[in-house]
Amino acid sequence: MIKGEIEVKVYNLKVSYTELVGELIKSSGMNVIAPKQVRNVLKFDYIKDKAEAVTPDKYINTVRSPKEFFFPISEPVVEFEYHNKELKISDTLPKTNNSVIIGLRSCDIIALSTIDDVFNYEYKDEFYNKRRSSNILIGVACEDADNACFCTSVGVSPDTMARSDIFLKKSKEGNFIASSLSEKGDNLISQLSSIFEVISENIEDNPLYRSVAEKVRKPLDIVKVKDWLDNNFDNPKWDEYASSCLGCATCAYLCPTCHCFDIVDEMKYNKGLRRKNWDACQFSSFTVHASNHNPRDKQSKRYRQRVMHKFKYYKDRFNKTLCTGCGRCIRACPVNLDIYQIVDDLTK
Amino acid sequence: MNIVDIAKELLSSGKVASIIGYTEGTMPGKVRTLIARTPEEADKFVFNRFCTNNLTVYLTKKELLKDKPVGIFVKSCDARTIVALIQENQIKREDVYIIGMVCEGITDESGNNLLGKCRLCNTHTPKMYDTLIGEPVEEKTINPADRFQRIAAMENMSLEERWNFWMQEFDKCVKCYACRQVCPLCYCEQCIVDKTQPRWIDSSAHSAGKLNWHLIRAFHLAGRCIGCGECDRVCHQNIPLSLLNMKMGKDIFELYGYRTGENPEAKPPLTDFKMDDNQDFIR
Repeated sequence: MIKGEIEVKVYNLKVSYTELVGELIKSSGMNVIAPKQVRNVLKFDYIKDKAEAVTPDKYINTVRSPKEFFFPISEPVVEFEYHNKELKISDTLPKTNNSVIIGLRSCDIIALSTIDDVFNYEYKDEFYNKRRSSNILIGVACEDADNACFCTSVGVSPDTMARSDIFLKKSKEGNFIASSLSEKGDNLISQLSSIFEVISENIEDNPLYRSVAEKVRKPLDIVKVKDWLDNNFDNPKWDEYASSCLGCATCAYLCPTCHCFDIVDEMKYNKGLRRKNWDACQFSSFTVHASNHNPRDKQSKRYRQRVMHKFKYYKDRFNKTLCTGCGRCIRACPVNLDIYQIVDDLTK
Repeated sequence: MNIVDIAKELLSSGKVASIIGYTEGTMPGKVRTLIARTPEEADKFVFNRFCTNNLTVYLTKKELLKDKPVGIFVKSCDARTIVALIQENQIKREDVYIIGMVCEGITDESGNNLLGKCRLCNTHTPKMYDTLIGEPVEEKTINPADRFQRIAAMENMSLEERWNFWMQEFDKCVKCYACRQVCPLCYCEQCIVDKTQPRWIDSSAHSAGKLNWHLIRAFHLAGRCIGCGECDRVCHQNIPLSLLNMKMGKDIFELYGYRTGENPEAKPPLTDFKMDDNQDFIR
């Protein structure tokens, strides 16, 4: 099987998902990160015992996206110290701590490849890139969808393999078929060769995934959306739709593609850290100038920015939609502002 | 009259400039906010067992509600918030037209489980309203101590256990400030956490930044929180924030016999002083 330029190798996984996690902990020599219940929240976290990993048939997706392992909520970027009027600066690049992240959904993997572009635009973000290159991604196709999922609107499907190192899909018989899509994936599989066997013949596609794709919200006309956004920056509909937005960062902080950050210096006596902290365009303080002028002086302008960035600006600059339809913002918005429904309504 | 007819009448007669209410959401168990300015827009108002949002949070949003008076649908708990906002001079009684809803309790999104705050509610009829929808239900007497039963387990923890409990809960915080934004009593134009000269609270989501944020917020709401539970509802990390506010509310109740949201004339204890205070620093 050939997909793009990479040769995809296909294997039968001889053990269960949990046993695979166990093998990764035992034999991969890397940290293992997987969806885990942490005090009532399903999130990606370090797994020490295979039983902690929630199996992929038990979740649609995690509450928190995996982006925090590449773009942490708060990350020191430089350390500084003053001594006798001299400034000493030391870098804080993360140590290469190789991890394998398993249990990712296609929407979250495509999200990472989407923000790769912005972190490698004019400035190459060493921190992000170092974390990206030292991690292996194992995706698992979705066995179910809920009524917030809309991945098929934005070019993703419940079993999109692209950009994973290894991708797991269930065969009709119920065992996992693993596709290796990168050198990193090949190497990991050869390390764990006792639990994988090469499959030579073609595997019949499992109809399950087609039915999941049909269960997600019906595809938006994304071209029409872009066209509307190109011409309606000042449309009064923005006021109407966004007036109930409370201006929190729930949508941005759960989003796998939102990537805005703030830079702050935190000092104690003569020592300090410069930190890169998550920030969000829905906060009223996001665009306040030093003069106290705020070009986005009301919530509807801030909400417009969110929609424009996702479906227009990122498309203009990188030819990608900055949304992969994971549905997290829809599930968690305190006032049920539903980006799919708003975008759909705007263009009607 | 049903809620749509009442809303239409208020808007068409010009008694109110706008009405804040609920409309159907896009997912089961969820409702959305609808701010209607014309009788036609009022067609979409609903009230059902999922109407948990405390809409009074919008009353202090100046950009949204320039024209007065503003109509608003409130449950008995939300009406208590209006009382608190009047007490704190944030709104004027005459600027709000209160459409009180007799409420038998709100459920979670499954529709099966009554919310914690509703299980302990004894006032199903709002205490302040201009129009009441539904038959008034008589207030049940409730032992004040029962109101605080949700924090009993926390109070029984040792200091060390309590510290560990909260540090683990706060560890999940991503500092999205949904708790602040949804809170009708967090109406400061500039929050202390956004002040930079000087920076009182680290904006970073590290352990000190998270702990300081939640503690300062609890202190700022001491004896002011009416217990609508919106902070709990919107926290996607499931941090039980209302426990902190309830504990502070209990302390204020025990120290001053004061419960917020009861009487618009009453002075909140932390903004008041008495010459016969039993501590002498005040004299």
